[in-house]
Amino acid sequence: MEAFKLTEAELQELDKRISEASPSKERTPLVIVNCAHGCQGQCDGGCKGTICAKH
Amino acid sequence: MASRLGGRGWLRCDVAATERNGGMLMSNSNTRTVTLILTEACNLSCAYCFEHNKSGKTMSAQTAKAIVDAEFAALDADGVLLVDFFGGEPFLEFETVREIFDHACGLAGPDRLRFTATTNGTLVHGTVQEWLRENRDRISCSVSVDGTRAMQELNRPGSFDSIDLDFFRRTWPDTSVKMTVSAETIGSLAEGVIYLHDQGFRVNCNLGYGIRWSIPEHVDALERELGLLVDYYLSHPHVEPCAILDMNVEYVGAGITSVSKWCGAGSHMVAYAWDGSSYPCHSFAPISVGPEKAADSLLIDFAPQYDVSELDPLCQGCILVACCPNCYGTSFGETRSIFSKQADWCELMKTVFRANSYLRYRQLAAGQLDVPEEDARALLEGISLVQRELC
Repeated sequence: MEAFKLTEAELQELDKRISEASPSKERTPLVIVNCAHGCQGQCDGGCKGTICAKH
Repeated sequence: MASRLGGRGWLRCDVAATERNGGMLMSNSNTRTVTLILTEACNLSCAYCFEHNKSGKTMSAQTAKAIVDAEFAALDADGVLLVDFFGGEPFLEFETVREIFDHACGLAGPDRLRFTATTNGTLVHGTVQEWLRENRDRISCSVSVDGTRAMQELNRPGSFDSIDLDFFRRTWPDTSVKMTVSAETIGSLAEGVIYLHDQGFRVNCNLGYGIRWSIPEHVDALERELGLLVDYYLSHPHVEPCAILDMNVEYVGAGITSVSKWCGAGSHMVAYAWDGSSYPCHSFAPISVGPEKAADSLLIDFAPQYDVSELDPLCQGCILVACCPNCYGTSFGETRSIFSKQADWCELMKTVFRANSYLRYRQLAAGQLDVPEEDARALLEGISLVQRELC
């Protein structure tokens, strides 16, 4: 798959940035969280993204 | 009649947040969403509709009011009830909508009780518009528009000119529209999203569930279209990417052993059919999956967390297992398993995450992404994993 593929140099830059980044805080599990419908806009009905966490 | 489903109660999460819809606070971790399927009829016939058992049956205002009363009475002291007027097309039953709304508003103020209507928009004119405008601080609309006129006509024939987009934009300025992508419209995905952005909307676009996608034809089309959208967003950094390019790359991970339940079905959510019977969500209701499967869905024991070994074999070991969208109701309707995934769906979602990882990297490189320091590492690692495992 060539589409959306970063170059080797970009991947190395990515590794460098990862090594320099602070440890991430513990992530709240994705889903439901603050969303009643919970699908985060990916459902095919219901809130249709207007009341969910991200949208 | 208004029985509580599940028995596990609501899932509680630490993230306290509310989101906007037209400036209106819509949901938080204490929100219970009650979907009222007011009618099993619809005035459209959409190509991808998941409601395969429509009828002329309607919910009486008396039944609806009793449900709202019972649901509100069962709320915790800090709980919020979100009543979702649903169908079919709920505005076919506008008088019932109004009667329920007036009744429910007498129970509590907007801090405890709010409303939304899931509509195709074609009946939102005249008195319906006036009523919505009057009550817009308490009710919002979730409107479906599938892209350009041509795309909408392919998915939902005869509907484009019946939707007053300007009304929705003016009434709820920050609102998004829902754009469902079908096999017929995937080749125009980018054009449709950009058209809706140009109309002033945020766009929630997703690939329709329950569609038989063709591999590699649709993967190739999706790749091309997402490439166009990536270019668009990089050259329009002020435009919020549509949902399909706003996936949670930071949740990509290797060696994940358990995942949280994907959606609120059977916990935060409950759907009531026209006769007052209740289901985990609208996708499990008789109008969607038929009466037998709907009855069987009541036996599902929804858990807040699942071991990866319980999931579809296609998902086990996948780095996207914690963030790949899944519609439990659609899966259940097709296979009687809420976890089933199709190989064609996997290929499409891998393409989606490839595009997301690429866009996110480019946005970071261009200084277009403001990521809190404590979140940066997870995002960078997610990008790296997708690039190394899926590209």
